[in-house]
Amino acid sequence: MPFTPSFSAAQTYGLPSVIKLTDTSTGTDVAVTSRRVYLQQYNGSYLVPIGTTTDYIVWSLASSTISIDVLTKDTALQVLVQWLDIGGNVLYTSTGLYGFTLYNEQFLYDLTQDQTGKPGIIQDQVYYDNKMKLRVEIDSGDQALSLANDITGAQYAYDRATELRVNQNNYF
Amino acid sequence: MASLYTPQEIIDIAKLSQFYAGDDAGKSRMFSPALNRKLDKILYLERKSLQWAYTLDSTLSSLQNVADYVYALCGKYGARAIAKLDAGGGGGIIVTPTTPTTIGLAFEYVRRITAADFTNGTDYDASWIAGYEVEPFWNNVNRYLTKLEIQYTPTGFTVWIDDGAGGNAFDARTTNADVDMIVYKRFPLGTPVPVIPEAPVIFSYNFTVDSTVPAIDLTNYSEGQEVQVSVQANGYAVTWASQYEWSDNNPEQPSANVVGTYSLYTFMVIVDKLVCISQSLNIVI
Repeated sequence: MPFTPSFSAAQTYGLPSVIKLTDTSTGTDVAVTSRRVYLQQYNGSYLVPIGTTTDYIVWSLASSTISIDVLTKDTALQVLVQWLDIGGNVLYTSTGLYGFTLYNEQFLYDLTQDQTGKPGIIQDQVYYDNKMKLRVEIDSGDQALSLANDITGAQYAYDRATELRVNQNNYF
Repeated sequence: MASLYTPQEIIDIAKLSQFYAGDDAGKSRMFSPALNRKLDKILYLERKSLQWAYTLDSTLSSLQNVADYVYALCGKYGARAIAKLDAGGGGGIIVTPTTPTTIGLAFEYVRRITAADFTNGTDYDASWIAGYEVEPFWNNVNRYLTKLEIQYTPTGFTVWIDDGAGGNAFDARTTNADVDMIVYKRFPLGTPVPVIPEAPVIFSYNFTVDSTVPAIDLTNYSEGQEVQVSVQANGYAVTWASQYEWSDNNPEQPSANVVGTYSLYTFMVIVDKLVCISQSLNIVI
């Protein structure tokens, strides 16, 4: 059965800085001896964990998943996975655009949880207008990726949302 | 307190409530204002967070609490959404009831009685309630008779109202000549639920002259079910030139439009040459 490369990316509730990749490839190719991951940002730079000196992260073939702790805020990324032979030649690649929005989504969810204890707060117009802005910016970022493959537009939207979150004492 | 709906159900309810709330706000006027003109936006916002968390991890312990909060926000629109979903509009909340096989405490029949219906001052005897449990509602005092106030007899029941001295204060001939009761009769426990026949299943086929209708698969129908067959040409029933053949290779020659009843699993019909515009075969199970 021929090798068909693919992977999926996800985040876990409570761990917003971590990206979890899962290799969903099918088939086999005995020539493949290594695998690497590139996490490219909107400005062309690569995200790597502290201590990594290359632009890429080595993903051992022995494990079908890898958790990469690199995020400090919501980030739009182009994730590129390569499968290589023993000579370092790229045999297969798979790529995808992802919006990793756990920081802001989790913050929104926490706000909703807080509201259950003080439901009257939704009458506070400043509070709720800002919460609405946060929601809209996240949605805008997601749509920039899903509808236009616009990683830059997505990152700008996520950054506007992040601005609200990190300055929450002023906005919420 | 146990929650009425799961987070997934509440997500569906909130989605529909959002639309209803927005619609209501759009129609809002000075003398019939919407409850909250921003509610649709609020529902979108809160439901999105709930849905995000549910999608990410449906086992989160906080989900039900947040879902209940979102449900509370839906307010009257939530009830409307549930009605819509229950009606099959979205398929989100369909509770499949267990089909009972016997009747529990259902009321069967209601009849109004007055003093003239009493056999004497205290006894109501009637074949329609003899041996059955009843629940009389005493209109004059606007309440049901209590268990102690109904004494069953082989032919009906006696109304017994304590006069405080060990006697019966009820008398339909004198004191309570204006008695007006609604008597509810109960099914006895364990009464089988009546079987409601299903609507007939009709197979209808059009076919050309001198052709064979493919065998019709009736394997889903149990042996013994009645099958009515008719063949029409130009809209009129034909009773000739047709051959009905059953899976047991036992040909039947029709003698009338409704051929008869059969209990076989497959059926086919062969029509000889016939000058007509159209022919059709109907099978009713």
